[in-house]
Amino acid sequence: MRKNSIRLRIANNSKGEQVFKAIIAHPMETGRRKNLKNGQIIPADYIDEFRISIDGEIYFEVTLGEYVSKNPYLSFVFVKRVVEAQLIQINWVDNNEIETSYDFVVNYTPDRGFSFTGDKNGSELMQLLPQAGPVCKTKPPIAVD
Amino acid sequence: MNLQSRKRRYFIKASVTIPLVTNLPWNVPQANAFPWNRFLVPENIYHELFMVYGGDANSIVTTDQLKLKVPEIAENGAEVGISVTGEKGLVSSMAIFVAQNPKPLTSTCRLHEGADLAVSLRIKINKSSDVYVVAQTQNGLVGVMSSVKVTIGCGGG
Repeated sequence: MRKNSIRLRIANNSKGEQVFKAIIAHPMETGRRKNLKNGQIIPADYIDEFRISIDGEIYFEVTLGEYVSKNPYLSFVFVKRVVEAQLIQINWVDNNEIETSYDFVVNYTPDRGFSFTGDKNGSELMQLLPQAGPVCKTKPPIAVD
Repeated sequence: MNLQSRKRRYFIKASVTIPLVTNLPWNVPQANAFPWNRFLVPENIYHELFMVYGGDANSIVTTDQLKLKVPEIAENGAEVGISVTGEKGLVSSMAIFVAQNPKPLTSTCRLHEGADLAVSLRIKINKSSDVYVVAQTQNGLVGVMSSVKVTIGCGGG
């Protein structure tokens, strides 16, 4: 996965609640490690603020930091259930104040579960059509770069 | 074998076995109790708590409405899974502190209306350390604590 790309999945847990899982590709450097070849300190590079809003309403805000693992994994429960055609906006800010944002539209098909179409930095959304491609019943995650 | 060398042998044997025996129960889980007294909380954690919550940091109580799940023994300190769950509609914000990290405040999380606290993520833990989670509720601050042993390889310290 390229840096600053995200992988999303919405699944049901044993209580029947919707669980949102995300993995962001990011090095999360603390700024304390040294490059063993030339002895120079690797500059800090980590995600500071991570935010998810659904239909324009902020739902979940988390401050990560340098002591969150590389390629941070986040999972949490959606209380208001997500339904089809809702807009999920995810954005995060680096320690270098570089902002990355994604807009996703939720798709739902009974055999594939939830999937997301969308693009980076708020560019035009892809059409809301069921995605063509091999049908996969057990693992519906969609990687979006 | 004279008496002195027997004594010496006994001493060497004891000095090897007694620490081994007494160190064995380190994997017994500790109770999730939060020390409410500020003098029992490590100084760096108290400092960061004060930075986040101000004067309320003096009145943190232990609770069983907040559940912290961390492994007792982590083999890789760079990726330790941690999950925090709270009772429905109870928690409005949450902060995770790791005592032995150079910067204890690892992550904070704000929950908006209609959201429940059921978060899990992976964090770095520098060395064996206590993990503190403090949450803001309507009734004030609550906290839980649990300790994680970070081993290098198998069974190391």
